[in-house]
Amino acid sequence: MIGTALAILGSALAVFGGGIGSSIGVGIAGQACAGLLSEQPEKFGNLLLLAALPGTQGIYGFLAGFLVISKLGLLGGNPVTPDMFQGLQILFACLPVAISGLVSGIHQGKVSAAGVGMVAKRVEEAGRALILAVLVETYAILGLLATILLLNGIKI
Amino acid sequence: MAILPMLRLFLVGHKDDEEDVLSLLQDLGVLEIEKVNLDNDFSLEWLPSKISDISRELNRIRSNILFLKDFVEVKSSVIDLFVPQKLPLSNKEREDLIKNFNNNGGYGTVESWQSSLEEIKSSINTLSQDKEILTPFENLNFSIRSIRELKYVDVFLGQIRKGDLEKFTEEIKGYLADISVVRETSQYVFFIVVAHKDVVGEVRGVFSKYNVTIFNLEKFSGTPKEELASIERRIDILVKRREEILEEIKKKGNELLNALYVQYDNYQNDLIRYEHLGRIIHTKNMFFITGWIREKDAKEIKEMLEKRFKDLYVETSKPEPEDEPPVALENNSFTSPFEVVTGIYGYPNSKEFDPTPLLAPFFAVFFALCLTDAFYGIILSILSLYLYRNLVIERHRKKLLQLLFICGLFTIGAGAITGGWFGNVSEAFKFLSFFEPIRRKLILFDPLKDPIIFLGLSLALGFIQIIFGLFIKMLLNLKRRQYKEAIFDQLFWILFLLSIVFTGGTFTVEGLKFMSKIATYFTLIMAIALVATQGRHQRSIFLKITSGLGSLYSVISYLSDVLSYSRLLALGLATGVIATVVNELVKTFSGIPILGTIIGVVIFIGGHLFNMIINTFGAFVHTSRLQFVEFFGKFFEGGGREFNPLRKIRTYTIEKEVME
Repeated sequence: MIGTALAILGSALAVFGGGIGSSIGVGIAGQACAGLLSEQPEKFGNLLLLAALPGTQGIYGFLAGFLVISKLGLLGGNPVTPDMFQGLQILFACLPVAISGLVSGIHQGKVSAAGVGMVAKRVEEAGRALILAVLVETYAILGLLATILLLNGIKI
Repeated sequence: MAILPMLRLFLVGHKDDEEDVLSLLQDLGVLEIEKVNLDNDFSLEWLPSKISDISRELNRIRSNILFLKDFVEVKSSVIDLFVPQKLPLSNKEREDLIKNFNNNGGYGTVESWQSSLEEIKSSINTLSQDKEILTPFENLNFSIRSIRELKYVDVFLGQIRKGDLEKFTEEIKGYLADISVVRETSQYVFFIVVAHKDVVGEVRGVFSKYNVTIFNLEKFSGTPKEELASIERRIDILVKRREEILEEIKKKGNELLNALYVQYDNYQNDLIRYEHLGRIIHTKNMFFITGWIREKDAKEIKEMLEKRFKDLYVETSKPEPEDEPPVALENNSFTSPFEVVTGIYGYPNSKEFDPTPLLAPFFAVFFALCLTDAFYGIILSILSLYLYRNLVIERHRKKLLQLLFICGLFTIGAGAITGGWFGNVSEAFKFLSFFEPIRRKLILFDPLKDPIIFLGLSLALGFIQIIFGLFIKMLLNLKRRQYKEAIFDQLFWILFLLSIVFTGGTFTVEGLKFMSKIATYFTLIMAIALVATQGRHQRSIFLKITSGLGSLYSVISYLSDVLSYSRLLALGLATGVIATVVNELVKTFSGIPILGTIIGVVIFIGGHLFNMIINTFGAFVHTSRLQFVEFFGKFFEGGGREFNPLRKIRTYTIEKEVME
C-alpha cells in the first residue's frame, strides 16, 4: 500500500506544483491587466490572453496528476497496487512537471505583466508580448513531456 | 516572392489644389506620404490651430458618444467585448444622418439632455438629504418659521451618538436649557434643545464638545410634515421630468448616436489628412509630395490624378539602393491568412522576400498536431466561418478567422489519425459506440499508448523544417552571389545534419546496417569539412582550426531546436487527456437519473468548450513560437516597415460597400 501512497503523493505534487505556479503567475498578470483595464477597457480581448497564459502550468500539472490516477486505476476499473519502488518511481517521475510548472508559472506571470505594459502603450504589439511570455512556457512543456515519457516507461 | 514592388512617387502642384488632391488620395488609400524636412519651408501657419480645433471637436463628440451610449439600448453580444463591431453605412446614409443630426439641433440636443439629467440628479440628491433631516422630526406640530420668531429662547434640532446622550443631557440641563428626545435609531438619537438666549454660547460649546450635528433649518419654514410633503412633490416632478428626457433619448437617441459616430469618423479622417499636410513641402505657391506607391497601382493613379487636376505634375521612379520602401505583402487565398503570423513577428525588410507561403503549411500542420481533436477542428472551422460571415469589421482584420478556419480543417485530419473525437467520446459512452469502429479504423497511432511515435513524428517534422530553413538561407545567399556562405555555412551544415541522422538510422534499422560504415565515414568527412571552413574568417592557422572545431558545437543548438518541437507531443497529449477527463467526469454522474443527465450535459459542453479554447490558444502561440524562434532564426532578417498609405480610418463605422 505504501507504493500507492507514494504514487498519489507524486500525483498530488504535480497538481499543486503547477497549480501554485499558475495561480501566482495568473495573479501577477491579472493585477497588471486590471490596472490597465481601468483606463482602457476596450483592450479586454488582448489582455485576457496575456492574463490566461500563465494558467497552463496548472493544467499541465493536473494532466500529469490525472495520468498517474489512470495508471493506478483509481477512477473505477481495477486499481493496481505498485510496490514501494514503483511508487517511488512514479513519485520521481512527477517531479519535472511539478517543479518546472511551479517556477515557470511565476516567471511567466512576470513576463505577461510586463507585456501588459507593452499593450498599454501600443496595442498592436499584443502578439509579440504573447510570444515573449510563451518563451517561458517552453520549460513547463518540457517538464510535462519528461513526466509523460517517464510515466509511460514505468511498468506496474 | 510576395513582397509587392514599390515605386517612389513625386507630385508637384499648385497650392489651391492641395487639399483636393489629398482628399482624393485619402479616398483611394494608395500612397504612403514620406515626411521631408527642408530648411526654408513655407509651412502652413494655420495648420496647428486647425489641428487642435479638430482634436477639440473630436473630444466633444467622444464625450457625447460616451454619454448617449449609456442610455441608448444597443444590441450587443459577448463578441463585442472582444471585437467591438462597426456600423455599416453607405455614403448616402452618412450624409442623411448628418443632415438629420443638424436639423435636430446637433450637439445642442445631446448636451442639453446631459446637463438636464445632471441637474435633476443633483437636485434630487439635495432634496433627499433634506428629507433625511426632517423625517425624524415629522411629528412636531409647529412650524419652523415660528421657532425662529421666538423672543427669549433658541431652538436646536440635532443628532447625537447614543452613548453620549446621558452625559450630554446632564450638561445641557446644567444651563438654562432643556432637551427632549424625538426619535432613536440603533446608533443615533434625534433631539430638540431649547436654550435661553443668554446661555446660547455655552450650549453651543457643549454641542461641539460632544461632536453633535445641529441641522441647518434656514431653507424651511412650514411644519416638518408640510415641508416633507413639498419635498416629495418636488422629487416627483423631477423624476417625471427625468423619465420624459429618457423617453426622448430612447426615441431620438439611436439616430443621434449613429450620427455622432459618423461625425467622429469624419473628423478623425480630417485630422489624419491635416496631419499629413504637415509632411508636405510648400513653397509660396506650390506644394510637393513624395511617397511610396505599389507598382501595380502606379499607372492608374497617375492617370487619374493628371486627369482630375490640370496643373499637377506626377512622376514615378524605381527606389534607389539606399531607399527603404515600406513593405506590402500579397499572397494567394490559402497563404494570405498566414500573414497574420508574419505580422506578429514583424514584416520582412524590402530587400528580402515574404516568408508567409513558406511557413503556411508548417503552421497549419503543427497547429493541427497541437489540437489533435477532430470535433474541435470541426467546431473551430464552423465557428470561424460563422464569425467571418457575421462580424462587421474591416476585411483585413478577419484574416485571423480565415487562418483558424484553415487550421481547423487540418485539425480534423490530425484528430482522425490520432483517434481524438471529443477525446474518446465513442469509447466512453455506450450510446455512441456505433462510431467506435470508424474511429478505430482511422487511427494511425494512439498518442496515449504510443507517445514515442508521436514524439518521433514531432521531432522529424521539426528536423525537416530546420533543414528547410537552412535550405532557404542557402538559396538566398546564392541569389545574392555569396557562394562561399551558401556552400560552407548552409550546404555543409545541411549535409552534416542529414548524415548524422542517416547514420543514426543505419545503426538502428536492420535493413540499412550494411550502409552504416559508409554513412559514418561521410559524416566524419562533413565534420572535417566544417572544421576546415567554419574558421575561415580568422587570421592565424591556429585560430582557424580552433574556431572550426568550436563551430561543431552548434550541433547542440540544432539539437535543442529539434527538441523544441517536442512541444507538439505535449500539447497534443494535453488536449486528448483533458478531453478524456471531461468524459470520465460526465460518466461518474450518469448513475443519477435525470439530474445526472442534466449535470452530465452541462459538464460535457462546458468542459469541452474550455478545453478547446485553452488548447486552440496554446496551439496558436506555440506554433507561432516554433516559426519565429526555430524557423525564422535560420534565414529571416525582418525589420521591414508595413505599408501604411494615407487612407480613411474609421473607429465606429464601416463602408457598407466594403462589407458586401
